[in-house]
Amino acid sequence: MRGFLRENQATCDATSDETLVARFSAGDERAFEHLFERHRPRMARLVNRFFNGPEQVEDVVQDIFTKLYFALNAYVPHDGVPFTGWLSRIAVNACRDHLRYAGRRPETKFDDVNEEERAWVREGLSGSERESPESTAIARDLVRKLMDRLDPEDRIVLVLLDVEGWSVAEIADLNNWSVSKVKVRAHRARHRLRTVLAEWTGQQPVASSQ
Amino acid sequence: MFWKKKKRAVADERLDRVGAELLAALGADDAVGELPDAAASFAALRTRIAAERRAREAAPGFWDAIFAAPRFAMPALAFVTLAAVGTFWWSGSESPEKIDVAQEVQPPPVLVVTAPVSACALSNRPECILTTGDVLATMMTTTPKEPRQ
Repeated sequence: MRGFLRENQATCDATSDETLVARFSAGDERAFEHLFERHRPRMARLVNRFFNGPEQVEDVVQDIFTKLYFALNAYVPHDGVPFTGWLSRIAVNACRDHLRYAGRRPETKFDDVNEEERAWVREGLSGSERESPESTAIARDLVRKLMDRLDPEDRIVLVLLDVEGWSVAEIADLNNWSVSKVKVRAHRARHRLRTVLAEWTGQQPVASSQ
Repeated sequence: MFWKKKKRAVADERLDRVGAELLAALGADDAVGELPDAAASFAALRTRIAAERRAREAAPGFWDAIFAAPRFAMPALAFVTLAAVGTFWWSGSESPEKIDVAQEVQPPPVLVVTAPVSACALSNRPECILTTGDVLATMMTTTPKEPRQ
């Protein structure tokens, strides 16, 4: 199978997503394999923003492509929505479902933040510059703990907006929300971030809400 | 007041800066870890799709569910009907004692209120009746003010 994947890589790259979808709808199962091969790395990167560990990422990616398989016949090419956007919608919805499920059994608590990480936040508040690899590693661990303290909806908005670089209109379209709702969600998420960071450094929690 | 507001704004700004730094760290973290290779992952996906397809085929459709409901309900309803008829027939063999309804059911005693009824009445007992006059008298009575200390 690996040989087949490598052998068909060149033709796979040349064919558009829409053509592959049309081929799949006509009964060509290999077209789905091409789509999987093409979009799996991007999906894994996106899922990695929300989940920790390769096992969890792989599980969510598999879920995304399972949903895609059964929804692919419903996709209408040239309907104004590019395939990548349509797939991203499936992916974000799958991430939301998994985050909600994970939220029912929270694993990260306030106590999980160690003294080194608290010191990192305090240093940041004092305005000192940090470029060391150790500092980057701490930040990577800390941001995951920080994200775990947000609601799934707020987390999705913040990651798509500030990490993935999506526009407010794109996020609104993805969730079928109004632009204002996205802005309110982003504002609330940032406020929540401030509150958690303040808690971690032992500061007075931020009073202003909206 | 202004000083407090300004201080909080500065604190919020610093927290936002740290938050942005953390989000940037998340953005820079592109290493997904050791995912299984594409072929193994696709094989696992095939298995998952097959399991999902089986689950979908096993699940009844809308019309199946509609028609399945009476199929299961009718034997249960027949059983309940038989049980009801049987109970009725069995209980009908013993004639129940006749009850003189007129004798058994007594009308409640009529409460006669002799005192005047007003909007302020709190109870039907004559000694508890509060008349409008009582209320007005209470309102108009001036109590001497206590001297200020």
